[in-house]
Amino acid sequence: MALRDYYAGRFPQIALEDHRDGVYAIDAGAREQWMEMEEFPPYEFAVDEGAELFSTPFTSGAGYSDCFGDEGDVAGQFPHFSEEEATVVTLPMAVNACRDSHGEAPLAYEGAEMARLTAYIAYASRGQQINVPEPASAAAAAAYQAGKRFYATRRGQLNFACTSCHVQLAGNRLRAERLSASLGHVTHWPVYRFKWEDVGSLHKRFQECNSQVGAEPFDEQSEPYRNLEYFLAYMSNGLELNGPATRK
Amino acid sequence: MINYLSKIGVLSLVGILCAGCAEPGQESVADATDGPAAVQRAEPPEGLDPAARATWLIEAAQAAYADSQAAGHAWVTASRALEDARTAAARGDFASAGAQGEKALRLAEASLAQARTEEGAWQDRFPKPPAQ
Repeated sequence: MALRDYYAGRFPQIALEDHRDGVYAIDAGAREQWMEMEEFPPYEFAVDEGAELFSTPFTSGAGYSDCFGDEGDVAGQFPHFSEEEATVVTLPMAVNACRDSHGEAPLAYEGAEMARLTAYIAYASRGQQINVPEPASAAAAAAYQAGKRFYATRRGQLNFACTSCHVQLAGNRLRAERLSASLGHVTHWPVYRFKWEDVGSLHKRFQECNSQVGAEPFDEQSEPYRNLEYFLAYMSNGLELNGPATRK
Repeated sequence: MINYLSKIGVLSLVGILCAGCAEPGQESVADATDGPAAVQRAEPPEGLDPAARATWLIEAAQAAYADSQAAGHAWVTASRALEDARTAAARGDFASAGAQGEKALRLAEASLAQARTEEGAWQDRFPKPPAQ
């Protein structure tokens, strides 16, 4: 956990649990603006629409509650490594697995319906703690290691890794933006991002980061991004889930 | 060419601005790696006419770009240059097609060099635990 110790040293005034708010734990001015945004959160409509989608029965008569319980408060169970499937399973994958098990076609991972459903599930799961178990098999350890490697690998013509901005320069400014620490990067998704004018996923943000440094992005829910999510979630163990959220 | 030089200029500026930002024991953000790992620089045969030269460069760029995709290190700029080369070739502008094809090839080769360098370099990007 050298990375967590590093952030503790870099931001001694910030308690570990406060990193759930990302850059708003670091930048007081931005936090003030964010708190005002939260008074009328722009993701509220997505949560309401997601709740309606969640309670709409499938053609078979079953529904999401048959997979995720009546409340749908299951975000804390993801991501996890499935030994059975030998891969990292994320919440959007579980949504599509639920649909598939009841004879429904999968949702597009980048689509509005998936974003709204996961916004509702994230809202219902607020207050849960990230609790990714230590990789218990060689396959799980390999997925974790692949995510760690992705995180630190330079990509694109600008030759940046995730660590360039979110470890080495965390807390500094890149043009007008304060760079966040990686702790807490996974706590609050999906996010209403003003730049997107909509709610979008963590993997959409990964794609954007990759594109910004000139790298060809991977697909949402591709193995590299799921492994990255797994690594980041493990790093954020113990932090509270507080999605959905608002970001610039 | 101006666009390409401006990009190099931006990269240099980023390097200058970020020099010294690194924590002790870490490389700086814009450190060039230890120099690109050796990637064979492909050159078209001499004596080709502009159309044949453009075709050769586009095919070589496509192959290098496919390799970079397979390595998970494809660059957006290489893809765009390749597309521009194909478009120029389709309209019969082989001078432009050759120039864009060569640009795509060099970018794809650079992305492959990045992939090779990163095979081991990524491990040094994590903070080191304090010495016991």
